Amino acid sequence: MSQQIPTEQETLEAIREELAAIKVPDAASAEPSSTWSDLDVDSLDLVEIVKALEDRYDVQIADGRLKAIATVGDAQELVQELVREKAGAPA
Amino acid sequence: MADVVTRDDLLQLGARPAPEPAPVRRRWPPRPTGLRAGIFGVGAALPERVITNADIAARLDTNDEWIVRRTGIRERRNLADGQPLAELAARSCERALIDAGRSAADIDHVIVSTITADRVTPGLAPDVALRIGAHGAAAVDVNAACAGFLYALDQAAALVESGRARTVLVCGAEALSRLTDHEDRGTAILFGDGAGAVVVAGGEMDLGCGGFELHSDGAAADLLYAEVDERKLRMEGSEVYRHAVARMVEATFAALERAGLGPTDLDLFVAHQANSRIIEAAAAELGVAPERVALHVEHVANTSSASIPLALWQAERDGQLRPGDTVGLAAFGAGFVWGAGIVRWKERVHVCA
Repeated sequence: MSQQIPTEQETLEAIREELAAIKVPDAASAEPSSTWSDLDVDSLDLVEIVKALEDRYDVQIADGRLKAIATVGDAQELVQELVREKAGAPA
Repeated sequence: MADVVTRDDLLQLGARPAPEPAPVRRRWPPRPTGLRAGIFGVGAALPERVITNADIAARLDTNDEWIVRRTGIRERRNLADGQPLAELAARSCERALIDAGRSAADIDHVIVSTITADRVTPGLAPDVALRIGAHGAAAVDVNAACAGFLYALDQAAALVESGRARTVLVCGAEALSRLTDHEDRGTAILFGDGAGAVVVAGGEMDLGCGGFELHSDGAAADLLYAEVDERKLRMEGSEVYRHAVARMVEATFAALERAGLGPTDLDLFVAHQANSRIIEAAAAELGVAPERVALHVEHVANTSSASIPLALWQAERDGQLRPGDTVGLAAFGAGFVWGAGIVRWKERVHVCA
Protein backbone atom coordinates (compact mmCIF):
# COMPACT_ATOMS: atom_id res chain seq x y z
CA MET A 1 0.00 0.00 0.00
CA SER A 2 1.43 3.37 -0.90
CA GLN A 3 2.03 5.95 1.79
CA GLN A 4 -0.40 8.86 2.15
CA ILE A 5 1.17 12.18 1.21
CA PRO A 6 1.08 14.21 4.42
CA THR A 7 -0.72 17.54 4.28
CA GLU A 8 1.02 20.81 5.08
CA GLN A 9 -0.75 20.97 8.41
CA GLU A 10 0.35 17.42 9.26
CA THR A 11 4.00 18.10 8.51
CA LEU A 12 3.84 21.33 10.50
CA GLU A 13 2.40 19.45 13.48
CA ALA A 14 5.06 16.76 13.06
CA ILE A 15 7.86 19.32 13.08
CA ARG A 16 6.37 21.07 16.12
CA GLU A 17 6.27 17.71 17.93
CA GLU A 18 9.89 16.96 17.03
CA LEU A 19 10.99 20.44 18.10
CA ALA A 20 9.20 19.90 21.41
CA ALA A 21 10.91 16.51 21.76
CA ILE A 22 14.32 18.19 21.71
CA LYS A 23 13.05 20.88 24.10
CA VAL A 24 12.94 23.85 21.76
CA PRO A 25 11.12 26.48 23.87
CA ASP A 26 8.95 27.94 21.05
CA ALA A 27 8.12 24.59 19.44
CA ALA A 28 4.34 25.06 19.61
CA SER A 29 4.42 28.42 17.88
CA ALA A 30 6.74 27.38 15.01
CA GLU A 31 5.36 28.50 11.64
CA PRO A 32 6.47 27.61 8.09
CA SER A 33 8.23 30.99 7.90
CA SER A 34 10.18 30.40 11.14
CA THR A 35 13.92 30.11 10.55
CA TRP A 36 16.08 27.82 12.69
CA SER A 37 17.81 30.83 14.17
CA ASP A 38 14.37 32.28 15.14
CA LEU A 39 13.78 29.04 17.01
CA ASP A 40 17.35 28.86 18.36
CA VAL A 41 17.84 25.53 16.60
CA ASP A 42 21.51 24.82 15.91
CA SER A 43 23.10 22.51 13.32
CA LEU A 44 23.02 19.52 15.67
CA ASP A 45 19.38 20.12 16.61
CA LEU A 46 18.59 20.24 12.89
CA VAL A 47 20.16 16.81 12.40
CA GLU A 48 18.05 15.43 15.23
CA ILE A 49 14.87 16.88 13.68
CA VAL A 50 15.84 15.56 10.24
CA LYS A 51 16.52 12.10 11.67
CA ALA A 52 13.17 12.09 13.45
CA LEU A 53 11.38 13.12 10.23
CA GLU A 54 13.25 10.43 8.29
CA ASP A 55 12.09 7.81 10.77
CA ARG A 56 8.54 9.14 10.93
CA TYR A 57 8.03 9.25 7.15
CA ASP A 58 10.47 6.48 6.20
CA VAL A 59 12.44 8.69 3.81
CA GLN A 60 16.16 9.50 3.43
CA ILE A 61 17.32 13.11 3.40
CA ALA A 62 20.72 13.35 1.65
CA ASP A 63 23.61 15.32 3.18
CA GLY A 64 23.57 17.83 0.34
CA ARG A 65 20.01 18.85 1.13
CA LEU A 66 20.63 19.66 4.78
CA LYS A 67 22.01 23.12 4.08
CA ALA A 68 19.01 24.11 1.98
CA ILE A 69 16.69 23.54 4.94
CA ALA A 70 16.69 27.02 6.44
CA THR A 71 13.08 27.27 7.64
CA VAL A 72 10.33 25.05 8.98
CA GLY A 73 8.61 25.46 5.59
CA ASP A 74 11.72 24.16 3.77
CA ALA A 75 11.62 21.01 5.90
CA GLN A 76 7.88 20.57 5.24
CA GLU A 77 8.34 20.90 1.49
CA LEU A 78 11.27 18.49 1.43
CA VAL A 79 9.40 15.86 3.42
CA GLN A 80 6.37 16.15 1.16
CA GLU A 81 8.55 15.94 -1.95
CA LEU A 82 10.36 12.83 -0.69
CA VAL A 83 7.18 11.05 0.36
CA ARG A 84 5.64 11.91 -3.03
CA GLU A 85 8.74 10.56 -4.83
CA LYS A 86 8.62 7.39 -2.78
CA ALA A 87 4.93 6.88 -3.50
CA GLY A 88 5.70 7.31 -7.21
CA ALA A 89 3.00 9.93 -7.57
CA PRO A 90 3.44 12.79 -10.06
CA ALA A 91 4.73 15.96 -8.46
CA MET B 1 23.20 9.09 -15.56
CA ALA B 2 26.79 8.10 -16.29
CA ASP B 3 27.73 4.45 -16.10
CA VAL B 4 31.15 5.11 -14.62
CA VAL B 5 31.40 6.88 -11.29
CA THR B 6 34.25 9.38 -11.46
CA ARG B 7 36.06 11.03 -8.60
CA ASP B 8 34.19 14.23 -9.42
CA ASP B 9 30.93 12.39 -9.02
CA LEU B 10 32.05 11.24 -5.62
CA LEU B 11 33.06 14.73 -4.66
CA GLN B 12 29.63 16.01 -5.55
CA LEU B 13 28.67 15.61 -1.98
CA GLY B 14 25.21 16.86 -2.78
CA ALA B 15 24.58 13.50 -4.35
CA ARG B 16 25.71 11.59 -1.27
CA PRO B 17 22.96 9.64 0.36
CA ALA B 18 22.26 9.84 4.06
CA PRO B 19 24.43 7.58 6.21
CA GLU B 20 23.91 3.96 5.36
CA PRO B 21 25.98 0.90 6.20
CA ALA B 22 29.55 1.34 4.91
CA PRO B 23 30.79 -1.21 2.38
CA VAL B 24 32.60 -4.03 4.11
CA ARG B 25 36.01 -4.10 2.50
CA ARG B 26 37.57 -7.00 4.31
CA ARG B 27 36.84 -9.78 6.70
CA TRP B 28 39.66 -10.69 8.97
CA PRO B 29 40.60 -14.30 9.52
CA PRO B 30 39.75 -15.74 12.95
CA ARG B 31 42.09 -14.49 15.65
CA PRO B 32 44.73 -17.04 16.58
CA THR B 33 44.41 -18.40 20.08
CA GLY B 34 47.34 -18.08 22.48
CA LEU B 35 49.16 -14.76 22.68
CA ARG B 36 46.86 -11.76 22.72
CA ALA B 37 47.54 -8.08 23.20
CA GLY B 38 45.95 -6.26 26.08
CA ILE B 39 46.04 -2.90 27.84
CA PHE B 40 48.15 -2.97 31.03
CA GLY B 41 48.23 0.65 32.13
CA VAL B 42 46.93 4.14 31.36
CA GLY B 43 48.29 7.62 31.93
CA ALA B 44 47.28 11.17 31.08
CA ALA B 45 48.62 14.69 31.17
CA LEU B 46 46.86 18.02 30.77
CA PRO B 47 48.33 21.50 30.38
CA GLU B 48 47.94 23.78 33.40
CA ARG B 49 46.30 26.66 31.56
CA VAL B 50 42.49 26.36 31.92
CA ILE B 51 40.25 28.24 29.46
CA THR B 52 36.71 28.47 30.84
CA ASN B 53 33.56 29.30 28.89
CA ALA B 54 33.58 32.66 30.69
CA ASP B 55 37.06 33.34 29.30
CA ILE B 56 35.74 32.79 25.76
CA ALA B 57 32.53 34.74 26.42
CA ALA B 58 34.68 37.70 27.43
CA ARG B 59 36.13 37.78 23.90
CA LEU B 60 33.38 36.48 21.64
CA ASP B 61 29.59 36.85 21.43
CA THR B 62 28.66 33.69 23.34
CA ASN B 63 27.93 32.60 26.90
CA ASP B 64 28.45 29.71 29.30
CA GLU B 65 24.83 28.52 29.26
CA TRP B 66 24.74 28.40 25.45
CA ILE B 67 28.06 26.54 25.18
CA VAL B 68 27.13 23.97 27.83
CA ARG B 69 23.73 23.32 26.30
CA ARG B 70 25.16 22.94 22.78
CA THR B 71 28.31 21.00 23.54
CA GLY B 72 28.45 19.87 27.18
CA ILE B 73 31.84 21.64 27.42
CA ARG B 74 32.63 23.81 30.47
CA GLU B 75 36.38 24.26 30.14
CA ARG B 76 39.38 23.20 28.07
CA ARG B 77 43.14 23.21 28.59
CA ASN B 78 45.71 24.95 26.39
CA LEU B 79 49.47 24.51 26.25
CA ALA B 80 51.47 27.51 27.41
CA ASP B 81 53.02 29.60 24.62
CA GLY B 82 56.08 27.78 23.38
CA GLN B 83 55.42 24.65 25.48
CA PRO B 84 56.23 21.56 23.41
CA LEU B 85 53.47 18.97 23.00
CA ALA B 86 56.13 16.25 23.31
CA GLU B 87 56.59 17.23 26.96
CA LEU B 88 52.89 16.59 27.67
CA ALA B 89 52.91 13.37 25.64
CA ALA B 90 55.98 12.08 27.51
CA ARG B 91 54.39 12.83 30.89
CA SER B 92 51.30 10.79 29.95
CA CYS B 93 53.54 7.93 28.80
CA GLU B 94 55.55 7.95 32.03
CA ARG B 95 52.34 7.74 34.06
CA ALA B 96 51.06 4.87 31.89
CA LEU B 97 54.32 2.99 32.47
CA ILE B 98 54.04 3.43 36.24
CA ASP B 99 50.39 2.30 36.12
CA ALA B 100 51.42 -0.79 34.15
CA GLY B 101 54.34 -1.58 36.45
CA ARG B 102 56.76 -1.36 33.52
CA SER B 103 59.86 0.69 32.89
CA ALA B 104 60.95 2.56 29.80
CA ALA B 105 63.51 -0.18 29.17
CA ASP B 106 60.62 -2.60 28.48
CA ILE B 107 59.32 -0.45 25.63
CA ASP B 108 60.41 -1.53 22.17
CA HIS B 109 57.90 0.52 20.15
CA VAL B 110 56.33 3.95 20.66
CA ILE B 111 53.32 4.96 18.55
CA VAL B 112 52.09 8.54 18.93
CA SER B 113 48.83 9.56 17.32
CA THR B 114 48.76 13.28 16.57
CA ILE B 115 47.78 15.87 13.97
CA THR B 116 49.62 18.68 15.77
CA ALA B 117 53.24 17.58 16.17
CA ASP B 118 55.67 20.26 17.35
CA ARG B 119 57.33 20.35 13.94
CA VAL B 120 56.38 19.24 10.42
CA THR B 121 59.16 16.73 10.83
CA PRO B 122 60.44 14.99 12.92
CA GLY B 123 57.30 13.55 14.44
CA LEU B 124 56.55 13.51 18.15
CA ALA B 125 57.35 9.86 18.78
CA PRO B 126 61.19 9.99 18.69
CA ASP B 127 61.13 12.98 21.05
CA VAL B 128 58.73 11.15 23.38
CA ALA B 129 60.92 8.03 23.34
CA LEU B 130 63.93 10.17 24.24
CA ARG B 131 62.13 12.05 27.01
CA ILE B 132 60.87 8.88 28.72
CA GLY B 133 64.20 7.08 28.38
CA ALA B 134 63.13 4.44 25.85
CA HIS B 135 66.40 4.88 23.98
CA GLY B 136 66.56 3.13 20.66
CA ALA B 137 62.93 2.03 20.61
CA ALA B 138 61.04 2.16 17.32
CA ALA B 139 59.10 5.43 17.27
CA VAL B 140 56.45 6.49 14.80
CA ASP B 141 53.62 9.03 14.48
CA VAL B 142 50.28 8.10 13.00
CA ASN B 143 47.62 10.47 11.74
CA ALA B 144 44.05 9.25 11.62
CA ALA B 145 42.63 12.49 13.01
CA CYS B 146 40.20 11.99 15.90
CA ALA B 147 40.17 8.22 15.28
CA GLY B 148 43.99 8.06 15.53
CA PHE B 149 44.13 6.44 18.96
CA LEU B 150 42.04 3.48 17.78
CA TYR B 151 44.20 3.04 14.68
CA ALA B 152 47.35 3.22 16.79
CA LEU B 153 45.97 0.79 19.36
CA ASP B 154 45.03 -1.65 16.60
CA GLN B 155 48.56 -1.43 15.16
CA ALA B 156 50.13 -1.91 18.59
CA ALA B 157 47.97 -4.99 19.20
CA ALA B 158 48.99 -6.39 15.80
CA LEU B 159 52.69 -5.83 16.56
CA VAL B 160 52.40 -7.62 19.88
CA GLU B 161 50.25 -10.48 18.63
CA SER B 162 52.52 -11.10 15.65
CA GLY B 163 55.56 -11.15 17.91
CA ARG B 164 57.18 -8.14 16.21
CA ALA B 165 57.09 -6.18 19.45
CA ARG B 166 56.73 -7.13 23.10
CA THR B 167 55.66 -3.94 24.82
CA VAL B 168 54.24 -0.94 22.94
CA LEU B 169 53.37 2.52 24.19
CA VAL B 170 50.35 4.02 22.43
CA CYS B 171 49.94 7.73 23.01
CA GLY B 172 47.33 10.19 21.72
CA ALA B 173 48.74 13.71 22.03
CA GLU B 174 47.11 16.81 20.59
CA ALA B 175 47.36 20.57 20.78
CA LEU B 176 44.20 21.50 18.88
CA SER B 177 44.60 25.07 20.16
CA ARG B 178 47.18 25.31 17.37
CA LEU B 179 44.50 24.55 14.76
CA THR B 180 41.62 26.50 16.30
CA ASP B 181 40.16 29.67 14.81
CA HIS B 182 40.03 31.55 18.11
CA GLU B 183 37.90 34.30 16.53
CA ASP B 184 35.13 31.94 15.36
CA ARG B 185 32.56 31.48 18.11
CA GLY B 186 31.24 28.36 16.37
CA THR B 187 34.51 26.43 16.72
CA ALA B 188 36.67 28.34 19.26
CA ILE B 189 34.68 26.73 22.07
CA LEU B 190 35.14 23.15 20.87
CA PHE B 191 38.81 22.25 21.09
CA GLY B 192 41.46 21.68 23.72
CA ASP B 193 44.91 20.21 24.33
CA GLY B 194 45.88 17.04 26.17
CA ALA B 195 47.66 13.70 26.04
CA GLY B 196 46.83 10.17 27.13
CA ALA B 197 48.68 6.88 26.76
CA VAL B 198 48.29 3.16 27.31
CA VAL B 199 50.79 0.32 27.59
CA VAL B 200 50.05 -2.65 25.31
CA ALA B 201 51.67 -6.03 25.89
CA GLY B 202 50.92 -9.69 25.35
CA GLY B 203 49.51 -12.48 27.46
CA GLU B 204 47.07 -15.34 27.45
CA MET B 205 43.76 -13.54 27.53
CA ASP B 206 40.15 -14.20 26.65
CA LEU B 207 39.63 -10.92 24.84
CA GLY B 208 42.47 -8.41 25.36
CA CYS B 209 42.26 -5.91 22.48
CA GLY B 210 39.73 -7.85 20.44
CA GLY B 211 37.13 -6.96 17.88
CA PHE B 212 38.48 -3.91 16.03
CA GLU B 213 36.65 -2.40 13.06
CA LEU B 214 38.36 0.45 11.18
CA HIS B 215 37.08 2.20 8.06
CA SER B 216 37.44 5.30 5.90
CA ASP B 217 35.58 7.38 3.31
CA GLY B 218 37.94 9.79 1.54
CA ALA B 219 35.10 11.29 -0.50
CA ALA B 220 33.96 13.16 2.62
CA ALA B 221 37.29 14.99 3.11
CA ASP B 222 35.78 18.45 2.54
CA LEU B 223 33.31 18.14 5.39
CA LEU B 224 35.99 18.28 8.12
CA TYR B 225 39.53 19.49 7.45
CA ALA B 226 42.33 21.95 8.11
CA GLU B 227 44.41 23.27 5.19
CA VAL B 228 48.20 23.30 5.26
CA ASP B 229 48.43 27.08 4.85
CA GLU B 230 45.45 28.24 6.88
CA ARG B 231 45.87 25.69 9.69
CA LYS B 232 42.33 26.16 11.04
CA LEU B 233 39.83 23.37 11.60
CA ARG B 234 36.73 23.80 9.43
CA MET B 235 33.67 21.61 9.44
CA GLU B 236 30.11 21.17 8.26
CA GLY B 237 28.58 20.55 11.66
CA SER B 238 25.33 18.91 10.61
CA GLU B 239 26.90 16.40 8.22
CA VAL B 240 29.73 15.55 10.59
CA TYR B 241 27.29 15.00 13.44
CA ARG B 242 24.98 12.67 11.58
CA HIS B 243 27.85 10.67 10.04
CA ALA B 244 29.72 10.50 13.34
CA VAL B 245 26.77 9.01 15.17
CA ALA B 246 25.79 6.60 12.39
CA ARG B 247 29.34 5.35 11.75
CA MET B 248 30.36 4.95 15.38
CA VAL B 249 27.18 3.01 16.13
CA GLU B 250 27.60 0.80 13.06
CA ALA B 251 31.29 0.12 13.82
CA THR B 252 30.58 -0.63 17.48
CA PHE B 253 27.91 -3.16 16.57
CA ALA B 254 30.34 -4.79 14.11
CA ALA B 255 33.18 -4.83 16.66
CA LEU B 256 30.86 -6.36 19.27
CA GLU B 257 29.85 -9.02 16.80
CA ARG B 258 33.49 -9.77 16.05
CA ALA B 259 34.13 -10.18 19.77
CA GLY B 260 31.05 -12.39 20.12
CA LEU B 261 29.37 -9.88 22.43
CA GLY B 262 26.35 -7.58 22.50
CA PRO B 263 25.76 -4.00 23.71
CA THR B 264 24.56 -5.19 27.11
CA ASP B 265 27.96 -6.83 27.67
CA LEU B 266 29.65 -3.42 27.70
CA ASP B 267 30.61 -2.22 31.17
CA LEU B 268 31.69 1.09 29.68
CA PHE B 269 31.28 2.84 26.32
CA VAL B 270 34.05 5.32 25.54
CA ALA B 271 33.40 7.30 22.38
CA HIS B 272 35.64 10.02 21.01
CA GLN B 273 34.88 13.02 23.21
CA ALA B 274 33.93 15.64 20.65
CA ASN B 275 30.64 16.80 22.02
CA SER B 276 28.36 15.33 24.68
CA ARG B 277 25.42 15.22 22.28
CA ILE B 278 27.23 12.99 19.78
CA ILE B 279 28.23 10.62 22.58
CA GLU B 280 24.74 10.52 24.10
CA ALA B 281 23.09 10.01 20.71
CA ALA B 282 25.45 7.14 19.83
CA ALA B 283 25.01 5.49 23.24
CA ALA B 284 21.22 5.75 22.95
CA GLU B 285 21.25 4.11 19.52
CA LEU B 286 23.49 1.34 20.80
CA GLY B 287 21.25 0.82 23.80
CA VAL B 288 24.00 1.49 26.36
CA ALA B 289 22.66 2.90 29.64
CA PRO B 290 23.82 6.47 30.50
CA GLU B 291 25.72 5.33 33.61
CA ARG B 292 27.89 3.14 31.38
CA VAL B 293 28.94 6.01 29.14
CA ALA B 294 32.21 7.90 29.68
CA LEU B 295 31.72 11.69 29.50
CA HIS B 296 34.91 13.67 29.92
CA VAL B 297 34.31 16.39 27.32
CA GLU B 298 33.04 18.75 30.04
CA HIS B 299 36.54 19.36 31.40
CA VAL B 300 38.80 19.05 28.37
CA ALA B 301 36.63 19.71 25.25
CA ASN B 302 37.55 17.89 22.04
CA THR B 303 41.18 16.77 22.22
CA SER B 304 41.08 14.73 18.98
CA SER B 305 42.98 11.44 19.32
CA ALA B 306 43.92 12.16 22.94
CA SER B 307 40.27 12.05 23.97
CA ILE B 308 39.82 8.29 24.35
CA PRO B 309 42.86 7.62 26.58
CA LEU B 310 42.01 10.76 28.59
CA ALA B 311 38.45 9.50 29.07
CA LEU B 312 39.70 6.02 30.04
CA TRP B 313 42.04 7.56 32.60
CA GLN B 314 39.27 9.75 34.03
CA ALA B 315 36.77 6.85 34.11
CA GLU B 316 39.22 4.73 36.10
CA ARG B 317 39.89 7.56 38.54
CA ASP B 318 36.12 8.02 38.99
CA GLY B 319 35.63 4.31 39.73
CA GLN B 320 33.59 3.92 36.54
CA LEU B 321 36.18 1.54 35.04
CA ARG B 322 37.73 -1.46 36.78
CA PRO B 323 40.14 -4.24 35.77
CA GLY B 324 38.29 -6.95 33.88
CA ASP B 325 35.61 -4.59 32.52
CA THR B 326 34.57 -4.95 28.90
CA VAL B 327 34.96 -1.59 27.20
CA GLY B 328 33.62 -0.42 23.84
CA LEU B 329 35.78 2.23 22.16
CA ALA B 330 34.50 4.23 19.18
CA ALA B 331 35.87 7.18 17.25
CA PHE B 332 35.17 9.26 14.17
CA GLY B 333 37.26 11.95 12.53
CA ALA B 334 38.43 13.88 9.50
CA GLY B 335 38.84 11.72 6.43
CA PHE B 336 36.31 10.53 7.17
CA VAL B 337 37.95 7.80 9.22
CA TRP B 338 36.20 5.90 11.96
CA GLY B 339 36.33 2.74 13.94
CA ALA B 340 35.45 0.84 17.06
CA GLY B 341 37.17 -1.70 19.26
CA ILE B 342 36.20 -3.91 22.16
CA VAL B 343 38.84 -4.32 24.85
CA ARG B 344 38.96 -5.98 28.24
CA TRP B 345 40.41 -3.48 30.65
CA LYS B 346 43.71 -4.64 32.21
CA GLU B 347 42.77 -8.25 31.71
CA ARG B 348 45.40 -10.44 33.37
CA VAL B 349 45.27 -14.16 32.83
CA HIS B 350 48.84 -15.19 32.11
CA VAL B 351 51.22 -12.39 31.29
CA CYS B 352 53.91 -13.19 28.72
CA ALA B 353 55.78 -9.90 28.35
